Amino acid sequence: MRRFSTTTIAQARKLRFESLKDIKLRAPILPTHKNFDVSPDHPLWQFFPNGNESLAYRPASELDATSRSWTMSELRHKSFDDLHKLWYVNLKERNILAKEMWLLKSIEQVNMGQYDELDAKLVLNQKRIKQVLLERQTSYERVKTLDTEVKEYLEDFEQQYLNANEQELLEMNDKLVRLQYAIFGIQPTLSDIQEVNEDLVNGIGYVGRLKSQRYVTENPDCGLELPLKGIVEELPFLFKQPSEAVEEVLALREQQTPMLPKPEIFEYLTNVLEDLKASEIEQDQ
Amino acid sequence: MKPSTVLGFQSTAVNNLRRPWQTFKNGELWYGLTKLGSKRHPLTTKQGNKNFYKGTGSAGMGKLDKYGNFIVNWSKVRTYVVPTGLNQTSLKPLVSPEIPQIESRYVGYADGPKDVELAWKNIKDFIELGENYDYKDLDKTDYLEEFVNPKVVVDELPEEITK
Amino acid sequence: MSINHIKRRYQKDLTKLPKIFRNRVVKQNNMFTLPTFENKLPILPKEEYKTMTQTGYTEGDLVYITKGEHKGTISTIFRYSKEYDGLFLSDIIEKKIIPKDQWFDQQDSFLVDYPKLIPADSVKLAAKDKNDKGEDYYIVAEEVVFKGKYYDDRYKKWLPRRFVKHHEHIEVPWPNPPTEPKAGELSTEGETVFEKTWEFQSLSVPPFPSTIVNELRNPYSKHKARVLTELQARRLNKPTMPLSKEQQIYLAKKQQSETEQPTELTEEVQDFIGERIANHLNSITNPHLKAHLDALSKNTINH
Repeated sequence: MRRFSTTTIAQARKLRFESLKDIKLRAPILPTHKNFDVSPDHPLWQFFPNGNESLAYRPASELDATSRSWTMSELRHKSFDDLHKLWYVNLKERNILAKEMWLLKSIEQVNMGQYDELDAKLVLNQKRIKQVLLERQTSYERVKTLDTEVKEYLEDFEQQYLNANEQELLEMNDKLVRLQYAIFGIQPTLSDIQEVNEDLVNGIGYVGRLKSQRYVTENPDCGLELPLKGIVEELPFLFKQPSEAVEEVLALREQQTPMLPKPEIFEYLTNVLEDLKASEIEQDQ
Repeated sequence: MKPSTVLGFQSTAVNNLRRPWQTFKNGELWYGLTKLGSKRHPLTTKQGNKNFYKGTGSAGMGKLDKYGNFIVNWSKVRTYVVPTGLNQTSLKPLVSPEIPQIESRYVGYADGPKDVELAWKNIKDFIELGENYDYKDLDKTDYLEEFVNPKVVVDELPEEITK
Repeated sequence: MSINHIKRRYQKDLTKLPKIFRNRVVKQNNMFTLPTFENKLPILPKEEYKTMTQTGYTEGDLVYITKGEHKGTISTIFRYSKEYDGLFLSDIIEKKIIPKDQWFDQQDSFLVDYPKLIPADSVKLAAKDKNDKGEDYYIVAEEVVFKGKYYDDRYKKWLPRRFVKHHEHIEVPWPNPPTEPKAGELSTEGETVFEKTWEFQSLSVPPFPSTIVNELRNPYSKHKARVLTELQARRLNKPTMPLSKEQQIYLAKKQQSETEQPTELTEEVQDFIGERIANHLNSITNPHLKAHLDALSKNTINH
């Protein structure tokens, strides 16, 4: 049997009434939903189909029975962000349905067929989204094994680039930007490059070699001796015009900067890219 | 007036057993429907000896230390990444039945959409032609999307596919 | 999963019971149900549900009943029930007695017309055509064959063309769908559906962050095709018993004898055999046997 301890009694505040005549009784506020003030933006309204204005559940006749699930062909055109949104849109609708089904099982003896059918369509949607993403992943993983074909293609492209005339050069440069992205994953704009990995290093090497070779064949008097030595000399060719890049490389050679050993390449790249991004932001401002 | 003891506010076990509202014995069981019952069922977490522990199979997000405190292993805790802009998309869970369904065909590709050759061809086309290299006017082809392997000679295709 | 999925785990799944037990359970269930609500056809498991292109017919098609009470009638399909593999036809109605507490609104009598559920086995696709004189006549297809696909604007999708088997010049076109499609609350509109926001561009940029791969693909899946390493294969297969000396000798001898090529018959032997056969054949007097042997001799064996 619980007894109040003396300390609790001491701590308890004494009720004080000024005068009993001032107390005005009012009608009790019944605990019905109408007497509650709930914001229409309350997140729990997401469990209802129309939010603030919906009833407890939709009768079977009100459910959308005519619409169909997304097909694989339609989903294959969507980006990852779109598919992510579609997944959650489906999930929210399934949550609403699940709530309705739970309510109905206790309220009335109703035929759940329509609810099940709609839920089945939504589940099919989610399965298809997952399937599309995995198809892309398997495609991506398999394409990465085509080493010989990629090498051949890069060699062909190199030949084309070096033998292109001035008119074709503009086109070839556009293609080169796309090739950078397609085969090495190098984003066209500097600010988009997030990760430094082996592909980036190989890409910078390829682009550097290509542009420097072309420049040297066009201007044999520039004074640049090929091949370029390491990432430090190849990097300028990525975002600068070839003439500027060559100047930078010549300056580096005068300073006799040693070739970077392999373990330090990633660190160097991250630092240089950060600096370049920072300088770009300053320039924009 | 003598104040009545406010027993209702102290619903202790003893008080409930006494059941002051029912002072007569009518044979009603205190709890449950029968005193008898089958014992041949799997134990739940609420039964057994003080040493009997039964888990629920729910996610093990951490460990109990020897003092009884639960130490959370944050790498095991699930986080759900919800995309931004869910309320602003025009994407809805289902598709209108008035919209025609596209028929996709992969001619000459053994693995269909996952085929390596198709993927490599797409990359080469992207480099050569840029974005939207694969543009197909679906209205003209009656919503047929065909991916034909360039190695396949059109004359050799069987009748069914060219229809 | 929804509440219905959870409930189904504790319900008896008739489709997974063997047929004998299934009939018994159905009988027990039907003991306490009114004849009106008795299930006469067995329920199919989900894997056996048939689509339009598998049954060969759809709502609105003409159909000919080959077995049962209404044998010989042609009627249009009102509804196909995939759970029971049965059809509700618009002309075939039976009267059912329904208790008062299950009457629907506006019902005033105990007897109600209900469409009868006809099993799909006893039904064949039919079609109506006009002959040269302009009179209507019906074709009933024993079986349906699908050839070629076309875009059907009524159904808003690509459908195969149906032909009558063994008479493949006769095409049975798909009927008009019963209801016109209407967009509902949950449907996206045309432009958003066809909007292309992704195409395969790079073999170096993954389609989604690599940290998510194991959430979409189960790395411990038992359904993947597993390949044994050489060591595992050796451990799981029994080793070969070494041959004994007698076995080795026997095998060596067998190999030698096998290398001896079969010799062709010499001319002498051929002549001898030919003479003997010729003598025998010449000594046959029966004309029927001679004719038969003549005919036989003209037979050629096609390899």
